[in-house]
Amino acid sequence: MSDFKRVMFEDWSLWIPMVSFGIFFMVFILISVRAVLINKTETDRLASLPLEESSPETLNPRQS
Amino acid sequence: MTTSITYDDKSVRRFMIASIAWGIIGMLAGVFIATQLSFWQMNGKFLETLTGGWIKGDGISFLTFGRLRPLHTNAVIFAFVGNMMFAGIYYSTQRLCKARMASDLLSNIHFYAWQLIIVAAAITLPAGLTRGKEYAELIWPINICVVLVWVVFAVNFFWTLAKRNEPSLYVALWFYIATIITVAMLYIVNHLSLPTSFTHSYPIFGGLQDGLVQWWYGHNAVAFFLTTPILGIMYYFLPKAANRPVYSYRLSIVHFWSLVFIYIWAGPHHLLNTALPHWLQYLGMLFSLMLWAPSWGGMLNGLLTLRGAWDKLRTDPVIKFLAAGVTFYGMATFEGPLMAITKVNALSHYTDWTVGHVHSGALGWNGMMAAGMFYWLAPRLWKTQLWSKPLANMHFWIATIGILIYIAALWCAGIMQGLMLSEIMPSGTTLRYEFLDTLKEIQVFFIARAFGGFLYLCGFVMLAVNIWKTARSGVAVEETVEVTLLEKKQKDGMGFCAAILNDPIAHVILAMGFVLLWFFLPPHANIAALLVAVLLGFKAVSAFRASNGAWTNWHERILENYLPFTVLVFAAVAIGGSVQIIPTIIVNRGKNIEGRLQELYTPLELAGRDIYVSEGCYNCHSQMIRTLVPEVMRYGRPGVADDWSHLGESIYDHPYQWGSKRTGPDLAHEGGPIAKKPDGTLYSSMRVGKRGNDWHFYHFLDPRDKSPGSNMPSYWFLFEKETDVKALPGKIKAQVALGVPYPVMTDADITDRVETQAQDIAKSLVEAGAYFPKKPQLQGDSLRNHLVKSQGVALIAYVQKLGAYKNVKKAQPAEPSSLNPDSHR
Ligand code: HEC
Repeated sequence: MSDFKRVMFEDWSLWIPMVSFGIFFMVFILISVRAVLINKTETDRLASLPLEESSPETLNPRQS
Repeated sequence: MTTSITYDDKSVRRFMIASIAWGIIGMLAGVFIATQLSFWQMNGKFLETLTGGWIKGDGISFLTFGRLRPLHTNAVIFAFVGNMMFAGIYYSTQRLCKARMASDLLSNIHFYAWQLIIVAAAITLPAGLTRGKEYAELIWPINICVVLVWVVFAVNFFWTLAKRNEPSLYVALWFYIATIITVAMLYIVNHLSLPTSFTHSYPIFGGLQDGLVQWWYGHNAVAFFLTTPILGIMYYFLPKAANRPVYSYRLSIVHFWSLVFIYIWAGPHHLLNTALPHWLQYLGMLFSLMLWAPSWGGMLNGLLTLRGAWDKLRTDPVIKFLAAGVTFYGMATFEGPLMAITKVNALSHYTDWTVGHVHSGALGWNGMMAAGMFYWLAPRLWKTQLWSKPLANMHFWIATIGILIYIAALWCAGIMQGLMLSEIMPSGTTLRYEFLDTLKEIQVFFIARAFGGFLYLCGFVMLAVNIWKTARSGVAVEETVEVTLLEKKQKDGMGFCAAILNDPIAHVILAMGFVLLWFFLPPHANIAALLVAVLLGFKAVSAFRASNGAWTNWHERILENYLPFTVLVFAAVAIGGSVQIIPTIIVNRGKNIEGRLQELYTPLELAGRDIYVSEGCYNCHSQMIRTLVPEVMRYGRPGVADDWSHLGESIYDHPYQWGSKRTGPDLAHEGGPIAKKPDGTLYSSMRVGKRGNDWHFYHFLDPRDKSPGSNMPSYWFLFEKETDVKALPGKIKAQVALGVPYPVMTDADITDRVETQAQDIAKSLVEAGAYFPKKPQLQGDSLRNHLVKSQGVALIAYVQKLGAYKNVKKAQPAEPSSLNPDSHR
């Protein structure tokens, strides 16, 4: 592990991409966990938001 | 309690019509400048034939490629896609919020002011009034108007959100929020400048910094002006058109946050293989590759929304356009990360492959989505049927064929020219082709490209006719609906503190902090930090168990609270820019530079540089020699080792002029040392580089004279117009204020120095037997007196200066080792 760190961080600047990636990765995991855990009825309700109040032309205004 | 609400559909109609009209104008400009690359006569000479000799000239200043390309790009980005996006946002936001736009007055101001800005752009750009940065060309008074209108739009939008009658914010609205705040941030930072007159200013950043800020902006203009709003439109209109909910709402959550978070970091991929610090290049490439995932997630989410509705693809033009748009989005976002791989970029960058890439996004994604949305909207906005389905289908096919021809032609042109330019003779010491050879070789593809673009334009004219006829066959209506009014407490009940300082966020921030410490702390302490981070992880899990799902509520509640949501998005996009730009701004100062440091421009050279910027030479010429062997062989100076463009060489350039496309050769090292007089002494400031002054003189008059087959416009008019010497003291003062270390000069000093250098150049031209065909009566002294004052001589002075540097050594070893590109290669 410390070898890895020496190779990667000997140059001060190279840690920036690593840290950036780390930050992104955490955000990504958090959001993914969130997305997986969200409950089905809720997503269905949210997903059908645009289909409410359809214009008269739409054949089937409500979908759920 | 219910009430009836009438949506503001008038604004939607207006923006839509404006988008179509500007779209046709912008695309027409595109087809026009495409022909200029094949036929130099299109830069003005053709008018001579058209008017039977009434208008004369090999080139007409406001019709030259360098001035019209910015018109084309600005028109399609800000006028065509801008108005289209406003139409889509105004339509869908009202429906998703179940509320009319908050203020009709603001909507009106937004519409009319935006059109006025476009008109102002259409006048100033051909007139040569420009800031000289791609897609950020408009001059500062217009910039201020743009910011004000954007604020009007933002207030109107967020106010509507505040008045909404639906507690949850649908994913389309998230994309709109991200668009509004990120574009504001990017636009303001990249347009910071110091005015020297009402029409001219210098950007406050210079050289490398300006380049970084520019591509942070440029890349994210693609991301947040051309992509996120259209994704929002996709998430609204595709389900509408297919009449089924989006394929996976979960995927849309991941799509949104990853896209917003990753995109902002990818800017440096426009500067790969240059002397840019290695970590920045690495970052740009890494995040560009990561973009593959969310982009394709979004594309699949869009396409799969059509599950079970694929039959409509045969019959419904709206679905056809939307599906094709999303498919092209997938194609363009596949190609983009590919081109961000350093090795691929070595070939693709500066060639027309890039131009093809951006058009698969612009024509394929933006154009097709616009068409799909307009065909869907028109019958609803005018309460009628689409005038002609067959015509819409015809539009679809002609547009698709047009795009394919366009992209394929530029793939061939770009890859072929890239390969030819880097081909080295078996001896290993010389290049196989002259630049001009490669240009001639790709001419056939340029013509095919112009044809592909023309087909696409024809398709768009069909759309205009179809929509116009549709509108004529119906009546403009405003939709009215019954909605249940929402109590104030059912939405937006969450404060800033509640959003940030709660369990999940606090744990994550703490854990991140300790992971960072693990990176930095010395041995042992770092292990401790890592342990704490892991413990925090466990703590988070147990807190999650204990909270009984309260954690999962957080994101839901954020979605019902637009202010904290907006702040979070802003944080996500602000991190990227700060990490990339702030260290560079701190490190890359003139006083820190070791090695090559740019020689300051003399006043005349500075005037010449402003002419270079104003004529838009950067639209064809780069000034950045990358650290690649064939490139250094082609553009480096003989006898100078490691002659790529070092960062210090352009550090005082406001704006930077590295460019992004090489229709002509790189000019970074076109100049040379101070010239010798016949008696062996040195001139005071006149320089001669790769070419003599007279070569440049004849070349500017008529490039074909020196380089048969060149497509460079003829710039004879620069020898008719006078250099604005009076403006120079003010300009130099502005440069000093920006940190360019000019010595103290009085106005008289400046005029004297201009006069001396211009006289030397003019004299050298006359002595070389110069002849000015437009004014054959001028000869000898009269010709010299004419040339001395001309812009052309100032431009020659500038071109002969390009690449001049002095070597500086610092007493201590330079600390920012990252500035040395060799250390990591
Ligand atoms: C339409 C694209 C285009 C524009 C705009 C353009 N050029 Fe060029 N330029 C070329 C091409 C192509 C060549 C190579 C063939 C030739 O020598 O003409 C070239 C060559 C040159 C060269 C010669 C380089 C060398 O040593 O071989 C110079 C100098 C130059 N251009 C300066 C300018 C300046 C200054 C402007 C703006 C006033 C400008 N160009 C605008 C396309 C363009």
